[in-house]
Amino acid sequence: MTEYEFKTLNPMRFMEIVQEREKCFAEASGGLEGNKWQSNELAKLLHPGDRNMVVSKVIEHSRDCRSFILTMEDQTQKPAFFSAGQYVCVRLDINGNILSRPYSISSSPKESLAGYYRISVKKYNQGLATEYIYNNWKEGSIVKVSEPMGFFTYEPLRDSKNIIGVAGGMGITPLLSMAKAICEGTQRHKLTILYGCSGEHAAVFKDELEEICSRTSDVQVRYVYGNITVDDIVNARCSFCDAEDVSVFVCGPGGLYQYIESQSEQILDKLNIEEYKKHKYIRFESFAESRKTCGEMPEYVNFTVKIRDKVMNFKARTDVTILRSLEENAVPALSGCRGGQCGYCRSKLLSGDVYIPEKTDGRRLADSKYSYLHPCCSFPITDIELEVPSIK
Amino acid sequence: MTKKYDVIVIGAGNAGLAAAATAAATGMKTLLIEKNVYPGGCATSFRRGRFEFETALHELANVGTEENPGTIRKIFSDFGIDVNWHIDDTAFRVITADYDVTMPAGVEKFCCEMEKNVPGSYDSVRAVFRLGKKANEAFKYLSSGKPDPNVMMTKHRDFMIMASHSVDTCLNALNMPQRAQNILNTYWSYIGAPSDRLDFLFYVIILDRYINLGPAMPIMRSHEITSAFEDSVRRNGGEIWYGTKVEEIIMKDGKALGVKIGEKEIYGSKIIANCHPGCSFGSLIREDHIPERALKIHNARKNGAQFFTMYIGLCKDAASLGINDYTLILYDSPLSVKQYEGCRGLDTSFIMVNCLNCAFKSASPEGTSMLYFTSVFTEDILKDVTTEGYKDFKNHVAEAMIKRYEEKAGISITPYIEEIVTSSPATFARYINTPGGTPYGYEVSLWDSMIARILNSKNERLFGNLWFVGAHGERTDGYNSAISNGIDAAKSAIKEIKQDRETIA
Repeated sequence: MTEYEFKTLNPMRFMEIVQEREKCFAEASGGLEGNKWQSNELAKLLHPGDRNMVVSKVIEHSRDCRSFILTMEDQTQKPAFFSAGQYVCVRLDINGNILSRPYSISSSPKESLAGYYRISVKKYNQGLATEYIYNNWKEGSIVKVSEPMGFFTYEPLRDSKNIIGVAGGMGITPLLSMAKAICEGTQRHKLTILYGCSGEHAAVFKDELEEICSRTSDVQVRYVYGNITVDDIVNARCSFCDAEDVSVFVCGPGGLYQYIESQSEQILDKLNIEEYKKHKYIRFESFAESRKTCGEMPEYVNFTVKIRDKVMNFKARTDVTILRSLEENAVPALSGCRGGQCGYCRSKLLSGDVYIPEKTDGRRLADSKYSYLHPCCSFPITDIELEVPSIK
Repeated sequence: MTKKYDVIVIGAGNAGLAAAATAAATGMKTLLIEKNVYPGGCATSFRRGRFEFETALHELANVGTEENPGTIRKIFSDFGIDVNWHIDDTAFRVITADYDVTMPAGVEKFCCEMEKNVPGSYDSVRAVFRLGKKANEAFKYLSSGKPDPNVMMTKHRDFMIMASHSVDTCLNALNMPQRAQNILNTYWSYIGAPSDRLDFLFYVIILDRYINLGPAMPIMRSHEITSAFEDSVRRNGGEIWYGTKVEEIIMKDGKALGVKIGEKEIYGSKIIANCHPGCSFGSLIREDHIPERALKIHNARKNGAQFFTMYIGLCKDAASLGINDYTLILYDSPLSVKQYEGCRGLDTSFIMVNCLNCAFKSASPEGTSMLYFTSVFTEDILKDVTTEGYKDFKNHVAEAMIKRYEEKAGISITPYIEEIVTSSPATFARYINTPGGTPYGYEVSLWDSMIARILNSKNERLFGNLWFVGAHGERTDGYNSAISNGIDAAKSAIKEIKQDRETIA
């Protein structure tokens, strides 16, 4: 009998357990001292959420490019440490319209320990947010800033130790942060930056980059005035003499991405990267807001938006993203990357139809099954009814 | 009073979702509040590049097929929840210094395979599953109403023995050969307590659920389960507020009245908090509202294990890399007690590697595959880590895990890493706000086992109108447990609401 010995175990022991339990409780402390776990502490320090920061300095690089040094309003706090390449979202309250815009941090992670982030903003014609920033952000202004976000970062277990950074215009900012991190020794790899801009006058970070290059041989910069070409990228490989492999990090306007995508076969071939490793070695930061590329449409549709226990109704354009319409109609909706990837703006479509460009469709499988969408890269086709998450 | 709900649920983890779905389905005016922008807590997924990674669920027990449904499938069907499952026919492959075995699902197959690996083990292993059946019968009797102690001692004597003795004691009493015990104990890490401290009852139930009906995975990751639950809440008129943080539970004379969100107060008859008491006392509940006994109950218990997980997207398919196992478990020692002890430091003795593409190929795009790494730690591994050193630390742990996997499994993955994401206990703490980021609540032990918690639940509930649910709850850790725990709490809340209404009438 297999169970013979088992049957000899004492079932009455069960009664002792309750007593044992009560005894353990009786002996325990009745205080609230609790355990201090470093895990919880790190979670708070690295992910503090939105906080107020002060514009403590404005740097005018050119007529249409400024940097802002942001320090904590509450000086007992520190900006969260981050990985070079990450961005923060600035939340702007423009006459009641809540706008959120992501800007890469152009200072180094180490500089955040000294108490500040720097973001760099180019002024665009008819750019609602940048115009507001240029007109209103002075020394002493208080701005609401998110914690650092984004995945356009160097990952030693994934990336080559040799990186070609392809920067179009303001796409230089995350790569500048990486260059600084290398210079300061917090990131250990080589980086050759192709800094593409319209001309020397537009290469506003040239002095800073030159300074970095003079301090470390691990960072090199090549200036490309005009469009960056496949040859520029391939030639940049020569800067790593003994390189076995190379990663390409691309950050810039949509045109640059389209070009790299269209030439990817050639780039892979010339850089000696096998086709199946394309996504491993060529990496993009999403910088451009998605634009509509859909057929005939009414110009305006009706929006019904539910946010917590409030319902709002308004008319909105079909040629701009749903997120933009939410912002322009003073809906305090949560958002992040504006490129369909981070999922912060994820909202439930209760009724109606939308168009979602495939390129920026970063939804999860079950989100599609249950009619969730990312307003930052979705366009209304019909009248829509939407439930959105609220900013805190 | 701004608004009145019947039931307010704080937190949309598995337990919170199940509670909200139960309340809403019973016609209760229900509000579910979640601080994150997604439901699920640990039970979710995330996108990175071409991949959608599962965050926490390796396999769900007790789903079964449509013809032979398990409890979970039945519960989901009651809620009108539609989840597309893959049911696997392999339980796990485990490699230790002593053996490398692959165990099939299905009780008879499992017992035969064990006999092949450990001759003379068949009878004792079969006996374990026989006892598993008895455990389930006793549970049914217990939950049917007021159990009679005499019936328990006579008809459910085995149950009483299982509930009050450790896995080791019982397996020894069944004369199971040590090696068979070791293989059988592989699942301890799913519970987070070693075989000399874990009650046999709970282990037998878990084992029976996995082996009997086979491990189940939702095709669209956990996010499919939690989205389906959420949908059920909505369909029954429940409200869900994402991105909304409850600052405080409003208490008066030992009873919960509602919640504070910023400056706003929202009132509800019953509050179900899918929050860990350890991170709620002193914040969600003001100190002067906490009875001393509640603090003693919390302080007496050992915190659950911490996890370090890693999600890797590979630019090659599983077969061409030589990856053939959905669940591969690597332990150093064959002994579960030693395995548990080895989880103290960074040099962990336990790694589990799951490849969803081995369960169903289409889990990631053609020509790619995904690996999830999990390791368990019983002491605070982030103790000395600073914010500046955090990323290097994570990469260091990740690299060691990859190296160990490559060595033990004889598979090279490093050159093919297209995406890699690591989650430390701090990541868990960020999303689920538990002490040390544990997803396992309190560590189970003989005096703090599932049955000990269930039988004492009434006299250990110390707040009026308020229930704490989750892995720390009566049913202990795991998806099945959390879902049942949420349903139990909601049923209890509904019962009180109905009683309150009758009293008023």
